[in-house]
Amino acid sequence: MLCQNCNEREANVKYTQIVNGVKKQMNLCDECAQKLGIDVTSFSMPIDFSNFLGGFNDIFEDNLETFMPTFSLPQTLKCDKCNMTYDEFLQTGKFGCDECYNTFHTKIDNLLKNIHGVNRHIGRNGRMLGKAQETNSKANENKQTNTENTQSTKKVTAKKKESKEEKIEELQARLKQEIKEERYEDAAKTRDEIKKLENKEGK
Amino acid sequence: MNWYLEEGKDSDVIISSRIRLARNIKEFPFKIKMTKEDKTKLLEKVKFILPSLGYGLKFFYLKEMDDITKMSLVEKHIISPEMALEKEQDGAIIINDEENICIMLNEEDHIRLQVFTSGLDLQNTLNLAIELDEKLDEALGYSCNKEYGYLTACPTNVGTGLRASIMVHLPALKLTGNLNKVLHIVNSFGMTIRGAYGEDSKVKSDIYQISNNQTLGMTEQEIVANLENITKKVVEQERLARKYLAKNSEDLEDKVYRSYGILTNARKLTSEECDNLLSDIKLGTDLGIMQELKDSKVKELMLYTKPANLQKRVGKVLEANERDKTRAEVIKQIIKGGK
Repeated sequence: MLCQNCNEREANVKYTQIVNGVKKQMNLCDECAQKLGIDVTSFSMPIDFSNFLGGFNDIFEDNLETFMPTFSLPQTLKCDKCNMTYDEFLQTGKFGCDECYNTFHTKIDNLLKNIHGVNRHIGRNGRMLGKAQETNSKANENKQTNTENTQSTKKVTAKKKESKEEKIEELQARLKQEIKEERYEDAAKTRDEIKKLENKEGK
Repeated sequence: MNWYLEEGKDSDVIISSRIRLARNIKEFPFKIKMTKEDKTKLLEKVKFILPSLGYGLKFFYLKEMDDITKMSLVEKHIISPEMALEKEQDGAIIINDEENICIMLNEEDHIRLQVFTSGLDLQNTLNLAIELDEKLDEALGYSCNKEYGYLTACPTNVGTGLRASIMVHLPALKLTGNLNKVLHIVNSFGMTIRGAYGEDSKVKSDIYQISNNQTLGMTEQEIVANLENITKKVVEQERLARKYLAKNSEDLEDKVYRSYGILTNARKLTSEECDNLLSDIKLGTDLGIMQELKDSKVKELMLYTKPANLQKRVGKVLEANERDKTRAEVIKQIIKGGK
């Protein structure tokens, strides 16, 4: 069979394309196949991380639409600081600035869980945390934050609260471990301890 | 001596360990939203505070470096190929003479802080990285928040921003046909194992890079401990496979010495062929089958036969064909150069 493109050379590449269920088939020679961008030996697709980004929040969004349409988020979220839209992020796979993490918070929480299995950071954190927000950092791991905070009274109360939160975190980790090891009796005790601490905090 | 020519812990299997921290400076938008002025300003800002870091770090603008020097750093795994090949070249690197510390600026993130060491030693490498990291944070102020930790351009790096990786040489697992099993298991533990030159790279000379996937929700210590743990298991398996091979040492000895024969007698050697020969020779040397070369010699050979480092060594720009001839000459030089 001759090549359907040039009608000169013997066809030895059979190219099948299915678009929306319609099957197209072409018989081409090597040369024409290459000209048409159908590389026979290697096929390098421009795949990167961003191709896999969309869709993680779809179910959640559908629910939002049907159950509480008035509260639904504007279709295109946009970061005030760098003007990046969520769609733009989906295309590039990269954020435009640090504020994007706040702007797209509801969307990326789920995404991060899919990538990392969790969506909260633990451990060492940046120095700017203490300055920018009143929320506590893991100050004991970050000496600099401590030395920067000169208001000693504030520090003490913050620290107390922090140690309690830390304690709860620690207990929760223990609880997980105990469940994993099927030590349910210990786990129950740990659970009660957590409850107690949390109740105290509530008051 | 530079770290990549030194011998480290478990260096029969483990070539090197690396810690990389991805950081952004609060004052600037991330890379894709940065203007040219932003990028220049960032470089100047970091250059200004550089003396406060110590460690004899020096600043180099990417656009002032020649291609061979850049590629020679890629071959040593000190900078990423993306950075060396980028069109704009508006980044910079900060590096010391030992080349065990290298900070890339204006890569995917503003700052990519890297610390390297020979053999297996993630813990000390991490400690040095943290020390530098805190100094940089103090001077520049990082983007971070409570929920997501250190904020990065790509969500795959957010949290600790830590990518730890270990380069391993696994010829015996490959020869015995067990490599795929090991790769599969390592992947199922949430680690990535791939060819040594990073993303997309083909596997050369049986050298693989194992690194963590997860950067969020785990402390730096946990990430490093997990990776070390898995790597030690891989090392165990590789050593078992080597023991098995050593039992049929006649075949292995034949293979190793055939490779040595070609390496020392060829008049022209392509980079790829050379990599494969050196992989056999490294295995033979590590197993004590051949005593002709010391470990340090093998390391030297592995480095200076790579295209850019070869040209750097002879101080000339060479075409591919000339390179193959020069490569064969340089090999003889290195081997002759006294033990």
